Amino acid sequence: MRMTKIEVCGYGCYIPRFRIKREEIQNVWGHFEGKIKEKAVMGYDEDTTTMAVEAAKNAIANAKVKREDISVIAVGSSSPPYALRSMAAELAMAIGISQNSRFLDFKESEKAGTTALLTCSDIIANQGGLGLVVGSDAPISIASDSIENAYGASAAALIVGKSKGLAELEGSATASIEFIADRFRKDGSLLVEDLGIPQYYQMAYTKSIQQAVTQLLGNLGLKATDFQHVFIQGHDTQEPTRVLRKIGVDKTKLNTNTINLIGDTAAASVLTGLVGLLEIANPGERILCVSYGSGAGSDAFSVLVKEKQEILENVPIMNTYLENKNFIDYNQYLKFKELINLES
Amino acid sequence: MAHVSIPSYWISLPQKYRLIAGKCKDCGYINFPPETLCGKCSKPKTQELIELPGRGTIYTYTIIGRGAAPPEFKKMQSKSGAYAIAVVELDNEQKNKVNVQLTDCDPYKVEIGMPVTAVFRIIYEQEDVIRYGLKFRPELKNPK
Repeated sequence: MRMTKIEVCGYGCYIPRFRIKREEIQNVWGHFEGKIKEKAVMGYDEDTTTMAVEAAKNAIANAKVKREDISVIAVGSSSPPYALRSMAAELAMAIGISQNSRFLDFKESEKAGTTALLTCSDIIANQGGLGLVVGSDAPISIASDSIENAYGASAAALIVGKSKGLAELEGSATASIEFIADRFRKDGSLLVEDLGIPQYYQMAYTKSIQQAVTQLLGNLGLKATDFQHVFIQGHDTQEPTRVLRKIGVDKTKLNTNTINLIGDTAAASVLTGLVGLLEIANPGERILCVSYGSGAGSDAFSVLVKEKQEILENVPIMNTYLENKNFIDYNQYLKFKELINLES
Repeated sequence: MAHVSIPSYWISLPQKYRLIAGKCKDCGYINFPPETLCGKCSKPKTQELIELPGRGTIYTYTIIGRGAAPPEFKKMQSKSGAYAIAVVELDNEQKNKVNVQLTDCDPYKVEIGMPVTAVFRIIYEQEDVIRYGLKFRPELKNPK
């Protein structure tokens, strides 16, 4: 569907300060599944709500908008602190946003962040005003499970409106193909489970992404070669490369920097990747973003960059967060992620 | 256990989340948190709400070692180890002071005068309810 013109008026991200290197995990378990160098870990006093608040504050400061002009808050996370309680409402209280705003929480899959973005954009296109979209995630799995290896933590936020933007959201397409999810988290559990059928996962991943991208390109009348930057959600840096041939994207255009240094941050993945790309892309360039959620399908959208965002001294950009790091060992990792019992 | 009920916690959220203070329209004094009577001229109901800056410097600090934290911080401290608490002098004209926990730093490397920034964090959890609020961390600036 081609949407009414929606623009990105500002953006920001948040990456926790703690990191663990792949070697540290490999030394404990004898294996590390997933091609990433290191990943971010939330500190002892952080959760997906606190990360979301920091990213949102950064985006608002960068966009130089008034908080009272924000009429919709849409948050996507597959690991919210509460199953029943709104992250968007908590966020609004922390930032000081009008109680007449609409609060939307998406928690359905690893693509909840792009579901939030596209839904919020549709509402803003219809009613005007400004939307605050946040993806914040830090999934966990069983300590010994190989999918735990690459799960990281990050948050990213965008301010969307109908004018005065730094980039234009040109259009989007969604492929909601029904696959029985091979990765899921059951009600009442904090841990993501993985059935461990790589061929099936690969088929679902490839088919969903291929269908979403093909439809997007058709809608916009663009070719894959019209994009200078591409971000595809993946569990590690290798996963997105496997679909490149199917969608006609050249490997040199694919950016996996955030996955490599932060890990798989599920519902925050695409928004984090997009913020990283918006910081380096030049005016006139196009960014292709593609999400994937197990059992939920894929969203693809195109972003046309108009101008670079001004860097404010006190609002950390992605690179500042990436360089501000403190490596922890595996024992500390277990405590921070609460993969061991801390209370009797 | 120091018990702060949910209604009392909720009432103080604006100051806990956003450093909302009361500026006396009569004498200009900034009360943090806002009070019924102005702390300087004692006039009632003269304060308008303003937001103090989330930046400041360490005025003084101390380190809370294992076992010294109040019981509601027990779980948090089992993860964090020793942590620092500080009086932070905010970057406004009146240099209002706030009592806060420091985070994202080695408590043994804290120094008086160190520039710090407010961050939204979990303070503690009680009755399964996460109590959020502001802590301060060393300033993080983009390189020029």
